[in-house]
Amino acid sequence: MKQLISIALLLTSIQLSAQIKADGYIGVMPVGYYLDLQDLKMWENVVHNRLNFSYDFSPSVLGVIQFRNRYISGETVRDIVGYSGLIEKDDGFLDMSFNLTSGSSSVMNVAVDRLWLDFYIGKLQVRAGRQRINWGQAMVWNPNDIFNAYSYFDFDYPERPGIDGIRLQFFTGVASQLDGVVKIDHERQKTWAARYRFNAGSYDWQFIGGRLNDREWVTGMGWSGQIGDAAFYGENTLLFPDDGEQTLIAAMGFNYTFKNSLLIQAEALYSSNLSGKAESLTEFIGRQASLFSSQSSIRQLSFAKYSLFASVEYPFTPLLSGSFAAMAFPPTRAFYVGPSFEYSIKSNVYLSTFINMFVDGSDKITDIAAFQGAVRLKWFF
Amino acid sequence: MKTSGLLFKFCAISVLLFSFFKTNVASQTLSAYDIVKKADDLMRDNSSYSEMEMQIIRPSWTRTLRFRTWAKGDDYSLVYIDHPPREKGQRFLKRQREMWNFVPTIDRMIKIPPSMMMQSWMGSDLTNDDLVNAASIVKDYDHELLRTETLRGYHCYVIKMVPHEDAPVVWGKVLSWITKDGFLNLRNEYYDETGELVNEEILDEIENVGDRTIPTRYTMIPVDKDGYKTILKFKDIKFGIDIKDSFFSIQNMKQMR
Repeated sequence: MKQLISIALLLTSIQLSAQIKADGYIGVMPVGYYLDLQDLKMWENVVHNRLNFSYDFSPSVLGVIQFRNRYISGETVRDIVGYSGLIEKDDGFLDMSFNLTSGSSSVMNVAVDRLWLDFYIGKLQVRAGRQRINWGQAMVWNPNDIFNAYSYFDFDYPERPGIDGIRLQFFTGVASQLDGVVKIDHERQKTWAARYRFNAGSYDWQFIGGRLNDREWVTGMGWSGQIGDAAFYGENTLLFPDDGEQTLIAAMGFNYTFKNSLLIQAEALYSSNLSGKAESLTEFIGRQASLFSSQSSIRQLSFAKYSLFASVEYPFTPLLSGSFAAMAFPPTRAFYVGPSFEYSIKSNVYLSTFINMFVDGSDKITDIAAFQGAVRLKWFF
Repeated sequence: MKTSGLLFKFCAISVLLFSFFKTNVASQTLSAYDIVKKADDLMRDNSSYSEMEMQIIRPSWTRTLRFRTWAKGDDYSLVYIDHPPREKGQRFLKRQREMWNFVPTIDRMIKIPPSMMMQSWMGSDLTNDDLVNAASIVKDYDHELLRTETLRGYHCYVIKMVPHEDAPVVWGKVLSWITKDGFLNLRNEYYDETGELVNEEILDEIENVGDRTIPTRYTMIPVDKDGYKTILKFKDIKFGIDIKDSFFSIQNMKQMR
């Protein structure tokens, strides 16, 4: 750990050549978990360091490597069978996640989640390698995000995992572009898709189409615009599997910022493939752990057919902000709440608290199904 | 995904740029209205590149933001955040009435709605009103030349600006000090509707920036809050740079570094 910190310090202190850029962060985060089903109470401590490097080979060629180093210790590592393996999992074509040390109650992992070369050729941009492709338009659930579907509940990985592939972006106008992507995963499954994004009538629109994992066709559309002064956005995706039922995943939401900086957000998600039965909540919660370290599917953004989200965010002072998010899954009585706070201790140092709590109200008694609470100190450099 | 507070910085930046433009030139012989109008028109069709530093100062802390801006008229701008490290690399694009934010760390482009543009940034002393109404300094106010007086050794016009009834403006009136020689805006006072002074703005560090001489430091001070202020300093500014409207594209927003 000391080595990591000294690397970080070194990076900030040495004057790197103008062509090389380096930055990152380091955070310390104790986390507590509670799972009702197993009556499980556990904690872990995560030291999470991220290093980002980029190098300008020429004005039209850029290389990037970014990786995260995590040192996780505690009861989760000690008591959950296969936990270290889960941390080391890499769903990409190349396995670039390594457990450097793996003790009885701690694991040290290094994972490369960005490694790409960019080529700028006139109106064309080609990016080859491990990268994030983010086609989302909504704020909580992103059915159009077919390459990088992610879990809303992972608060310690804003960058999200990358995929291995090639992306072409052709800029067809000042506010429009055509994208083509080919991705390949660890099982040699290929996904290819195209997107056309454009601006019309003060809305951004996009249409997508392609084939996922060699086994289903996909099509969808999304938009970002406004109703009055409020943001109004949404996206929907239709999946046509070679075997199995056609599936529709659709999300729509809005947000509005008041003059006092209070931000309110609401979003709804429809997943035609999901049942919303009580046991699926438990499964969903169980799946979160693996989602954090690997890629998820847009079929599993929620556990219920209907999901509703609402949140408020407010900066109490310039240094202290708070947010409160809630989800409901009608007609089940299950719900989710997630309050969080962030305080800027110094210019680049932030202290945050997070809570993820699922309440299962399907029985007569309302019961906390799962709870995750964390405090994080994070320094950006 | 949380919406970043950085979105608001863009507003602050556009406004600061604009308030910078709008107050620099006046005329000795024209009416107060014409002075403001002429100043507005003169700066509006200009293009510029600038490097700026904004400091928010409170009794117990200070926060600094650094950014680079390319702007053309009132319709186009592109902003790149250089500091603080958490927000570094974020970009903002404005084309006419539409705005986008690109966050390279998550490869996400967000279209910014009008309501988000109305916020102040990080509790700086710039009000929402500064942001959304900056463009209407000519249309939304009546202007009156009150008097001339000497300020910091400069002979100045003092112009009173009162917003129209239907103008979406929080101020009751604004007083501006503009030098007779060089038309430098040296000071502004912002009053609320009861006539109380709310903010004073001091413009100093007058420097030759190439083709003109202008104040390069703006300090906004709320009068009833001890130790509060926001400082904007132009580290570098170039006027009349040669950029086309098409420079302000999502391609440039994504590829700038």
